Amino acid sequence: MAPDHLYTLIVAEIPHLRRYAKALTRARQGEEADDLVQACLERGLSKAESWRPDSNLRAWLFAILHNLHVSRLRRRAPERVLAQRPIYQSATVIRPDAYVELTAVEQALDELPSEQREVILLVGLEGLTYDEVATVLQVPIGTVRSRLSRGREALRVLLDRPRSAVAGQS
Amino acid sequence: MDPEMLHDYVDNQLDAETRLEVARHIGENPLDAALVQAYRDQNEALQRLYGPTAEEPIPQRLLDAVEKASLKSERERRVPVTPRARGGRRAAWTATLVVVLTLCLGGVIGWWGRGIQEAGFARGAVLNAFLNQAVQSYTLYAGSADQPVDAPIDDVKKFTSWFKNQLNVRVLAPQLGAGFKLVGARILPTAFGTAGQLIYADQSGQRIAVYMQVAAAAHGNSLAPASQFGGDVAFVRHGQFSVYYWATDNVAYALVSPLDQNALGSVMKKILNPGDSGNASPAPSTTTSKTRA
Repeated sequence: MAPDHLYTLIVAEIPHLRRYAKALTRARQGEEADDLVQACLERGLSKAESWRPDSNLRAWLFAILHNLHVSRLRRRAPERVLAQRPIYQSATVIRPDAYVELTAVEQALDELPSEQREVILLVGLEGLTYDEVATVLQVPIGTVRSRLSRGREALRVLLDRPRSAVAGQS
Repeated sequence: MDPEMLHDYVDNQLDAETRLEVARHIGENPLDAALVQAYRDQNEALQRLYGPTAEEPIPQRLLDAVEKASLKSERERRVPVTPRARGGRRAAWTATLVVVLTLCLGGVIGWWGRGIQEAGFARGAVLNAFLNQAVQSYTLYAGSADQPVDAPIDDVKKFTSWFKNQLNVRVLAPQLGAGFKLVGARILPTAFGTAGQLIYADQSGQRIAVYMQVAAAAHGNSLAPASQFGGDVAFVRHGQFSVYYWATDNVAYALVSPLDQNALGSVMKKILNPGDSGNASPAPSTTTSKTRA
């Protein structure tokens, strides 16, 4: 593949990387997520010459993003745990009842172990195949399936709680 | 049933045969059907929560990072770059930004269709918008195998002439090859002009959509069949979908399906080489265009 074509493809992946980075960092402003994406692009581009045309570009970039995220978390784990996480704010207007529901989803996601949350996001949000997720997280595909199964089931049970318990409404 | 199979089903990770088995099981087990629905609702909630981020314009600093690396790579490859060529490249890049940021419509796809080498990576953002539209229209209208098509095709011939008049394109294969038959179609208004979507299904309920984006201005160009664009057909995984895409002078096409690359590839081959199947040519091509009223 012509290198020019590679840059085309990388640009096409940026919206996906940004979306996953935002979901992963749940930053109120996009800056933290975009910092992560920029670091990912720079790391990836510096290795662009060794990229093989027959490999999966998306999985490759997501793997870089994931590794950067994990090492950043490791560096500042304590404050991360204590931080009050704001509801994600997007430019899109969300109906009030849907807002309550989405708040509940986001809170429930927060309660999951991060390894389950990542798989749920990569599959449910980004639409990666299990194979691709296995590549991104560097775990066997069986692990991907079991994390997904356990995570979604835990999320379902959390969301089945009475609404008042999570949203302060009856 | 192994609970993980329900997730495989939700995420389109099964072959056609197993998928049918699971679908049958779900039909007979309301509890598992409720689980499948709950998992789908979760995915939908994630899309609503974070989806809008992917629709935002790409921040300049991220585009700059890629452009910087691209120019550096160009220098390192020691391709003789005349100042004029580099200027043209810059211009193309700037033009794309303008196009993307303002969604200025006319001739976008015409510009887009000039080919990978010429447009270079600047094409990426426009290409991305096109692929997003193609995949979103699939998700909205072709969806999963158990979702009905809301614009069904009763009379293929009548439909054929209607579609031709609406879009000035001919993509009209009742059979797409590999057992895929036309089951639905619609015209879609998009930010880039008129688009069309044809939905094909096989007996197991697997679906493929052909998405066509017509450039705003068509000037009676007669397009060559897709077989002449063999070298320019590209493949990309877009979320859980496989997408083959290519362009003629004023129409960009995308073949979208949750099928894997190999399965969709064999259908794509039939489109490129209709002679192999003996069917009426499904190769995307236009009749001589008339300006639409």
